[in-house]
Amino acid sequence: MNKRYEYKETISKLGDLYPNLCIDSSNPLLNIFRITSGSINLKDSYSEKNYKLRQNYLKFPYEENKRISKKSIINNFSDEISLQDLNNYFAKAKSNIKFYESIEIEILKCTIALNENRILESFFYLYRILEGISYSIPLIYVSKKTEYNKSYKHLATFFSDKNGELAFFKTFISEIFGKEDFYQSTIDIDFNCIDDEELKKVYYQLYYEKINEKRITNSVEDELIQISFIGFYELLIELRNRFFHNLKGTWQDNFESNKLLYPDIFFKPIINHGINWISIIIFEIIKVDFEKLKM
Amino acid sequence: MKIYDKDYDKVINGVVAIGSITYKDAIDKLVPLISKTDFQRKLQDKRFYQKLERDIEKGCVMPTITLAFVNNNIDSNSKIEDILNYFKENVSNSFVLDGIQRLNTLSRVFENNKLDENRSLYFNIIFSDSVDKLLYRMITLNNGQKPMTPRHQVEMLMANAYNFEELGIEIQTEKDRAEKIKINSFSKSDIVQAYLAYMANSPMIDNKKIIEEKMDELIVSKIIANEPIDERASFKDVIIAIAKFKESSKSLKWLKQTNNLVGFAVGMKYSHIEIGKLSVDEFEHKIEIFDKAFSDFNPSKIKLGKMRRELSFEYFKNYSKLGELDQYELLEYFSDFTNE
Repeated sequence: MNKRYEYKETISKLGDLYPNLCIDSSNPLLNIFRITSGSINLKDSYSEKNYKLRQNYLKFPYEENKRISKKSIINNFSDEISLQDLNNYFAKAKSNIKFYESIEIEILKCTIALNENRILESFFYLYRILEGISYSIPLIYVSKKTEYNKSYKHLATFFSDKNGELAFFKTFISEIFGKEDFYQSTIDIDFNCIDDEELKKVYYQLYYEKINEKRITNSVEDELIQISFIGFYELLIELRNRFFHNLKGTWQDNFESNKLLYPDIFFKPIINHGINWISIIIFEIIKVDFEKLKM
Repeated sequence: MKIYDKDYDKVINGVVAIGSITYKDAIDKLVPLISKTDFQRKLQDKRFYQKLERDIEKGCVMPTITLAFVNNNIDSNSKIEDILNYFKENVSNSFVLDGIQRLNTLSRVFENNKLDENRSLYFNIIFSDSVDKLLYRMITLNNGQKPMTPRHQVEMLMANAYNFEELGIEIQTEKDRAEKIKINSFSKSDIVQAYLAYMANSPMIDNKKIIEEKMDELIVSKIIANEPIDERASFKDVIIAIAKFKESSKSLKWLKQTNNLVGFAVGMKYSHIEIGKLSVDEFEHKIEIFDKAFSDFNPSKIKLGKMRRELSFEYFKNYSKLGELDQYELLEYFSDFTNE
């Protein structure tokens, strides 16, 4: 896939029994799964740096893997699924390889930047992923549905929103995942990861102003904003729009750079949640892939 | 304003009194104190307290709040009248140790003209000569404490409020089961799950991919959002029904499966009357139909457990309609339902 980054399997002897779960199997679906579940190491051959990816972004909210073992893989699926099942799933799920390949590299860049504390860069890749998946994923999803009639209805609903790909994606997420626990749950944006008390206040305020009030489920001044799953998606887009644009003539209130002297700190409270959000969605799509295999 | 009783706290060296005040006075005299309490928790967004707001309108008794004075004007020699008089004159110097959010909620109900102003708000007052001691009391008793999880609360209530043996079923904890499993008994954690799901009015209350804290939060929000479906229904109906149907060994085996049990329990909330009338044989027959339809339905393994739970809920929820169907009609219903 790429020459710069070299994956290293962390689970010993995994390949003996389950070759398709092993990172050497060169399957972008599996690679995405292993990166987002935080169960591999990798080496950047350019900088000669090694990375241990240990955040499991498939849990909601994300959590750190303390030890990596076969459990770190199987724990992401329901109890009925065995490693052997998974091995078969990954062997057979081969559709949309090009798409998954393109996402894989973005996720990789995104997590590496985060590991290096280059948060703005990480957010930048996060946003690229969002754009990359916002149109494709609903189409992939619908194409996997077995019934043509239902697919048409789904598509018609998604397209009812005429505000572009990102709004289309939002409709898709709400329509398809509205009943899921993660969708109904909330995300805690915790500002205590900002050490500087003054900055913490300012950034809390900046975020607060950018969030639609009805998406906030709870808040503690200067410390915490709790936001709905879909509200978080809106926030990602809003932050990106306000940060990466600087047109003065428009009605929107863009961020002034003098307020954002520390963009790496500014994006810190949401970056992990952002990767978490996107990983959960991609993982759901991978699972639909598996479901279709009917094993 | 009333003071009912008083006592002396030897740890923080202060008098503690219990009293009440009308909502009207609380709005006039206590609400203005709120901004004073700098070291209290910051004002939270109001969403969380919307349910309490509605309950106050309906006439709930507000949980006791705690007020405090930092001085030594009241000591162990003071009488109840002294406390009352002191409180009346100096209320503006007191502060709210615990209950800021509740007072806030009260004042919102007041602003919407929906408050019965003559009802009482009950409170404790602590008179202490040192802020440190008050803070200590706050930390050890009221605040800074992690609330009990909903799971824990259900477990506690269940242990005390239900006599399962009397109702006709036996329950074993995980620990008991590790020693020796009694064939006819149910696992306690399954019954707790069923109860939680029943309260939340949703069969999906565990999800190992969502960390426990978030899941608990979600369960609480479901319970809070939940309006009663049928005032006559109670979880006791579920236990009584299980006790009856378990006479059939097939039904017992079926009900001991967590996903079946949880779906059944929540479904009972809607159909407790119809299902309560079923005989042991009829119930056994119905679940046979359910299982046949379910196995033909053949959900992919990756969603098997979830589907079983949802469809068991769906089946018993709409029992008056679905109970009539044969296995093929039910199968058709299942595929329509899951494909919508």
